Amino acid sequence: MSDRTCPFSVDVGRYVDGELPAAEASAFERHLGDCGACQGDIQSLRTLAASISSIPTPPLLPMTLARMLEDPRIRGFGRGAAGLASGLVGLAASLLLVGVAMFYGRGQQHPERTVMNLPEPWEGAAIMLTADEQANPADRGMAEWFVSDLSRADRGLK
Amino acid sequence: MCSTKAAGDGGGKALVQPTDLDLIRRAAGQDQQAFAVLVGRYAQSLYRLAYVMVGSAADAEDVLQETLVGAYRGLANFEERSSVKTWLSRILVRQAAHLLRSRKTRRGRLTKSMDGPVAPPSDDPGMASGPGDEAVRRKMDVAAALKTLSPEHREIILLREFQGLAYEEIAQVLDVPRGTVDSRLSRARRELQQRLKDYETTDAASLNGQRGRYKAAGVGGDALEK
Repeated sequence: MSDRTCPFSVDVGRYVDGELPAAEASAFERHLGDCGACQGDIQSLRTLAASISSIPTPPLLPMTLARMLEDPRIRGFGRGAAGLASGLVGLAASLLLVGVAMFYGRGQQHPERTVMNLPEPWEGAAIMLTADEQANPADRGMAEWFVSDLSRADRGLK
Repeated sequence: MCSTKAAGDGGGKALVQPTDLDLIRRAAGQDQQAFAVLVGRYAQSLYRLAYVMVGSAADAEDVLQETLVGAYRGLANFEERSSVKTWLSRILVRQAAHLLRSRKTRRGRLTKSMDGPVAPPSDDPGMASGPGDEAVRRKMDVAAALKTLSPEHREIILLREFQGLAYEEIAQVLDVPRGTVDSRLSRARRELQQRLKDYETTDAASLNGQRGRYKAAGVGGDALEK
């Protein structure tokens, strides 16, 4: 390709790629029968193309693709990524309330509640729902589950 | 345009496969399954392109991931003037270029790949000892030579030979005039062929040098001929 001395002015690559206009392609094909240099160029380009297209690459595993599709920026269908994030913030706030209430509640006894197995006062605060949690049953359920689980542990019911 | 492809299932009942445009429209309407099906059609080919462009599996995964995110965000703005394959390739090429730029900035230079297709050591006498090995060596040489090209030349060659895109599609992917594709691709191929010649010359010189060292050390050079 680079050393060719053929005076025929055509881009052999465009011919090989099928990108030459029909008239130019026909003219080039008439020339091609008598030109060893151009034949060599074509062969060389085809060999190069075959080598490139068969460069070995690892396969993309289905589980890898599935993991990519789990990206929150993609999974945020409907609610949007911001909605998902605010849901998580709501959940975190609930857990913080649980922690604070447990810290202050340790030293106090509520015998009637312990006996009757009623909710501790902090539970009422903890299960107050944020606006996001109210809008999303999954978040609300998870927050309630955390509260319930911690509450049972606090009362020694596990 | 919103038609579907019907394919016989051999049992007399036609299976209807949604077209890319159907899937795009459904995905734009927040149909996650449609987006997954659409992505599944092109993921392997996009990953292969990313792998050869950036030279490592981990980086290729990053590039593909960002491509999918970019595609998802751009669903609503998809213009039906180009094919989905062209559109996705365009996003991927930009993500790969972004990664290569940031890598270059981070390390101060474009690094050699660690786990990508690797060129054989040029002084390995065991390479290319038979006709089958010659083909393998050529593929590895091509992979190594591609890495030495400028990103512009590498990407245009890969879009043509790896993705099989037509010149007009390449122009859309790279956002350049069609005439630029003609000239750039021609230059890129010439450069790649020159690099391959350089490799062959280096390999031959290296092999001859080894023979000389073996002979000087009193070791027969016949093993190198095998």
